[in-house]
Amino acid sequence: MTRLPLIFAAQARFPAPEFESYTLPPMSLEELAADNVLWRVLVLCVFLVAGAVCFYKWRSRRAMLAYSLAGLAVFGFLFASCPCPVGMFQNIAEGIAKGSYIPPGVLLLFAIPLAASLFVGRVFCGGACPLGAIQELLHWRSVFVPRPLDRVLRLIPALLLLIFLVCAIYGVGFPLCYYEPYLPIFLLDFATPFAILSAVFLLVGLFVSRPFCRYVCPYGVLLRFFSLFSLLKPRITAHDCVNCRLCEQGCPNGAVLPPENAGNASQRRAGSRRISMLVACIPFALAAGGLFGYLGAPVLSSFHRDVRLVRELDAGVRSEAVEAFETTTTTREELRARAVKIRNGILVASTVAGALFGALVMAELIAEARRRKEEEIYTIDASLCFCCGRCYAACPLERKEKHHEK
Amino acid sequence: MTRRDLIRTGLLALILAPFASLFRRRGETGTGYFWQIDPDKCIQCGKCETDCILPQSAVKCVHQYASCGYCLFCSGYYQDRRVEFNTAGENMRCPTDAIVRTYVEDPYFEYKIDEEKCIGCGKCVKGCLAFGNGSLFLQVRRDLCRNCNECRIAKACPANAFVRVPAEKPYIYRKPPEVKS
Amino acid sequence: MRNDEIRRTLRFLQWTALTFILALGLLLTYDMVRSRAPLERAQEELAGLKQRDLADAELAQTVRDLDYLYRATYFQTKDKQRRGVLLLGIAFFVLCGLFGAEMFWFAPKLKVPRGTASVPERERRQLLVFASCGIVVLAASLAVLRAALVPGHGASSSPAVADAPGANEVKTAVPTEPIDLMAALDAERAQWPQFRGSTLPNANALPANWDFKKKWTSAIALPGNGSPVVWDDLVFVSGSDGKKGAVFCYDATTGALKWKTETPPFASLPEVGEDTGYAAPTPCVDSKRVYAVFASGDVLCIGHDGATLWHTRLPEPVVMYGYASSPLLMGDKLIVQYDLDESQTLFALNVFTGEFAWKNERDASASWSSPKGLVVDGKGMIFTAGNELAELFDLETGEELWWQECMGGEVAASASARNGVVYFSNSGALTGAFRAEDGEILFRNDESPAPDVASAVLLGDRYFLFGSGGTIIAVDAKDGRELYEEDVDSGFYASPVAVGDRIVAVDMEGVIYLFEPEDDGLETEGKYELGKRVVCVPAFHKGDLILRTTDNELVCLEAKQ
Repeated sequence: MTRLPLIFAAQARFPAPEFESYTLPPMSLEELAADNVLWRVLVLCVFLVAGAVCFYKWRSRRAMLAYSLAGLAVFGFLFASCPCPVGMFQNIAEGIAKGSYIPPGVLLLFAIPLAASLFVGRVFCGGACPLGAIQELLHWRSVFVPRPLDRVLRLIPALLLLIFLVCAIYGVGFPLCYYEPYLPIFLLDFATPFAILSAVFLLVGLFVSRPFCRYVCPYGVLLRFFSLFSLLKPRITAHDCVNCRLCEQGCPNGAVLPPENAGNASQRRAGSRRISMLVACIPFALAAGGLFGYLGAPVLSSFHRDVRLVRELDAGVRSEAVEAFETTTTTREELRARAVKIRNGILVASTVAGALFGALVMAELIAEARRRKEEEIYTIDASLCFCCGRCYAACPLERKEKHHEK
Repeated sequence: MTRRDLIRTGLLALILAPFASLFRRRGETGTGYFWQIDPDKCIQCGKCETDCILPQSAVKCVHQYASCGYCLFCSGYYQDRRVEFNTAGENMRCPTDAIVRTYVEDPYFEYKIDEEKCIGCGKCVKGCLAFGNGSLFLQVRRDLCRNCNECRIAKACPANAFVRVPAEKPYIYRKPPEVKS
Repeated sequence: MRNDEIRRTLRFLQWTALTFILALGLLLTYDMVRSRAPLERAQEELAGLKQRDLADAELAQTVRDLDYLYRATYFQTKDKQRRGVLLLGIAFFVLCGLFGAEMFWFAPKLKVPRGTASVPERERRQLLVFASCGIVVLAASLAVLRAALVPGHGASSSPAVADAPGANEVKTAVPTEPIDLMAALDAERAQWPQFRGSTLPNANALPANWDFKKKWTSAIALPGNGSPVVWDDLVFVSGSDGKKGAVFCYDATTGALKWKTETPPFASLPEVGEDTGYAAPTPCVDSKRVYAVFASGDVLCIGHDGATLWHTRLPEPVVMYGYASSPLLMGDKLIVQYDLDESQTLFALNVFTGEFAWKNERDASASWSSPKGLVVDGKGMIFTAGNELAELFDLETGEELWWQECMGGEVAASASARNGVVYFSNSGALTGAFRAEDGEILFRNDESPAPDVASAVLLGDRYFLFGSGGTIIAVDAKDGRELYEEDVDSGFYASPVAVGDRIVAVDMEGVIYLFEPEDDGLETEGKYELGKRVVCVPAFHKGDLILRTTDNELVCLEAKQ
C-alpha cells in the first residue's frame, strides 16, 4: 500500500521548481472584445424605422423582401442572432426573480420591438427578427392552414410563454434558447444533433408559412397584444375593395379577415347566446387550466437540476451529478430543502400559469365569436399580420396603382 | 427606387448575407456576460467535448505554469501504467496528442497544450489532479465561444460548474495550491 | 429568352438544388451517425487496453496503432464533415438565390380566386371543435409526460428514503433487557464473537494437534473480506456484491447454510478498492444478535434465527480504499469507527434499536483501524487509533478522555489491551503503549519495522509484530525493546490471535502456524498448509478452526484423532 493519500489533494504534491535558465511561458488567455449589445439596439432601431417606411409608405412587397434579406444578413449572420429579442423575456424574468442585475441592453432589446409595435405594428416580425426573416425568405408553396385551426394553433405560443416564464423564474433554464431551431444555421455549424431541429423547421417552413412565428414564438404573444393598440394599422388598399378574395388567399398567415354582414335578428341572438355560453365557461376554463397547471408542475420541476439530483440520490443512482455533488460542501439536507422549495414554487406558479392560459383560451374564443365590424371590405388583423406585404402584391387594385405609377 | 435597383440590391444581399458572418468579431457577447468554468467544481466528466452546439467546442485545456511541478512523469501527460517515457501512443493520456513535452532543465520538462488539437475532453486534467499538482484545468476560450444565452454544456454539466461572468471580469483560474512545507 | 422559358429554367434549377440539398443532407447525416459509433468503440477499446499491462510489446504496438487510427480518423472525419456541410451550405444559398431570383424577376401572376368565400359561422363552429380537440391533445400529452418524467408518487409527497442517520426501517417492540458489561465480556471469551476474538483475552479451546483434516467446506455466495465469527454452533460471515449486503449463517458442525439475510439495496455506493470490496468489516455477534457493517454505510442487525431486527444507514463512508474498519461490540453498544476522508466520527449504536446512543465527531483523519475495547476500573473504554491521534473514549457517554498526537501514515492495524495498558503498532505510526488512565506513553519504539496490515498480538510479556513481508518481531511489552526476529516464507495480512498461551497466525499463502513464544524465539509448534490464500482471521469453535479463503470458501478444519 504505497499510494499517496488523497489528503494531499488541495496541496501541491510537487513544489514549483526553481529554474536556472528558463522562464515560465505566459498563459495564453488573451483579453477579449467587449460586448456589443448597444450596437445591436441601435441597428434594431434603424431597421424598425426603415421597415415601417417600407411597409406603410412605399407599400411594396419587394421592399419588404429586401428588408427581410437585410435583417437576415445583419441580425442573423453578422450578430449570430443570439441574444435576440425573442428570448430576452426569459433573461428579464430570471433577473427579476433572482433580484440580479439586468444589463440595460437586454431590457432595450426586449422593450424596443414592443414599443415599436405600439406605433407601427409587427414590423419587427417583418424582417428585423432574423428568425422571421429566414422563414419569410425560405417559404415556397403555401399549404393553407384553415383559419379555425390556425387560431387554435396560435394559442400554443401563449402556453409556451407561460411555461418558459415559469422555467426562467425558477431556474430550470431558458428552454427557448436551448431549443431555438435556427441557431445552428446562423452559426453556420450544422454538425450537431441540434441541426436536425433546424432542418425540420426549415423543411416545414418551405410549405407552411412561418411555422415558428405562428405556432411557437412566445414573444409573439406579447407583440400580438401590443399591436392590437397600434397607431398605424396595415391596410390592404386605399381603393374600394372589390371583394375578390385574392388578398385572403395571398396571405399565408391567415391575417386577412373577410367582411361579415350584420345578419338577421335570429342570427344575432344565436351569436349572443354563444358568447354568453362562452363567458359562463370562463370559471371552468380557469379551474381546468389551473388543474392542468397543477398536474403539469412535477413535469416542469423534473427538469430542474436540483430536483433531478435529489431524485437520483433517493433512488441510489450513481450518476456523475451525484458524484460531483459529493465533492461539494452542501449537505443533502440543504439540497433537499432547496429542491422542495423549488418544487413548491413551481407548483404554485404552474397553477397560476395554467389558470392564465385558460383565461387566454377563453379570450381568444370569445373574440372570434364576436361578429366582425367590417361589413364590406377585406381587412387585416393587425395583431396577426407579420408585415410581409404579400397582400399588396396580390391585390389587383394595388398592382394597377403600381403599374400606373411606373 | 426602380425595380432593377431593388433586384440588384436584393440579390446581392441574398448571396452576400451569409458572408456577413465573416465580419463577425471573435469573442464578442451580446448579453454582457461570458460563460466560464469554475475549475474547482469541474469533475472532468467529458461533456465539454460533446455537448456544445458547435461541433468543436470552445472549451480547451489551460496550463497554469506557475503551479506545475515540471515532473518527468507527468500524470496528466502519461497514463497510470506507463511503459516508457516516450511519445508512444499507449503511454499517453491525451487522445489527440495535444500536449507537447519539451525538456527544460534536469530533471524538469515543460508541458504545453496545442489548442488546435485539444478537444476539451479533460482526461489530462483528471490525471493531473489525481497524482500531480492540478495545474491543468479546462476553461472556455472566449474567442471561440459564441456566448449563447443558454449554454448547452452548462445545462449538461453534472457539477454545475459553469458560471456567467461579466464582460469586464478576467478569466477564472484555478486557485494555486499551497505547497505543504 | 422568353419569360416562360426563364421561369421554367428557374423552376427546374430550384428543384435540382432542393433535391441535391436533401440528398447531401441525408448522406451527411448517415455518415455522421455511422462514423460516431466506431470512433466511440475505438476509444473504449483503447481505454480498456491501456488498463492492461503494457510491457508486452505486441500489445503496446496494437495500442499504438489503434491510438493513431483513432486520432487520424477523428480529425479526418471532422474535416470531411465540415467540407460536406460547407457544400450543403453553398447549395442552400444557391437555392435561396434561385428563390430570390424568381421573386424579383417575375411579378406574381395575376391569380384567379379559388373556391368559395369562407362562411364565418361555419368557421366559428369549427373553431370550437378544434379548441376542444386541442384540450384533449393537451391533456393526453400531459398524461404521457407525467408518466415518463415523474417518478412513482405525485407532486406533493416527499421522497421515500430518509437519509437521516438512525432511521429505523423495521420497528419491532424489542424488550430492552439491560446488559451487564462485565458479564457479557466474560461470556464472550469462550466464543469467537468479533474481529480477533473477544475483547478480553481469548479463552477458546485450541485444536488437539496441528494435523488437520477438512471437516467441511462451504461456498459463500457473496464475496467479502470480513472474518468469520462464531457463537455457540453458528458461524456468521458477511458478503456483498456491491448492490446489497448479506449475512450468511452456517452450522458450525456440518457447514450447512442455515439462512441468508440481506440488506435492502445499497443507497450509496462509495468507491472501494478492488481488494476491499463492500463487506470488509468483520461482523459482531452476541448471545442474541449478529451485527454487520458494510462499506455503503449500512448496518444490519439480525437475530440468530435470521430475522432482521433493525437496519440503520450511516452517512456515506467516502474513504480511500473503501470502508474497512470492523465494529466493536461492548455490552449494549455497537461502536463504529467512521474515520473518513472528510469527516471522522465515532458512533455508538444501541444494540436493541439501532439508534444512536451517542456520536462523537472529532477532527482527525482517515483511517482503517478498528476500535479496541477495554475495561478500566469497571468502566468500559474505547481506544481508537488514527492518523496523528490515539484517543480514548468513555463507553457510556462517548466523551473523549484523552488524546495523544503520535501517529502518522495510513493507520490500519488495531490495538491490544491488557491491565489498563493499550498496545499499538502500525507502520508509519509507532510501536508503543499507552496508559489507559491518562494516556501517558509508556514506551515508544520507532525503529523496529512495524506491520502495515496485520494487527500486532500481545501474549505474556511480549508484543509480536507480524509483518506483511513475513517478518515476526517480538518487542518487550514493558519497555518496547526489540527482543528477537523470526522470518517465515510468506507475509501476514490476517491478524494473528492469542488463544490461551499460544499464537495462531495464518499467512497469505494459507499456512496456519501455531507459535509458542519462548524467551529467545518463537517456536513453531504446528504448521499446516491449507493450500488457499487467506487474508481473514481464523475463528475457533470447540477445538476446530474455521477460515475464510480469498476465493470465498468457508473451511472448517478439525484435528485428526
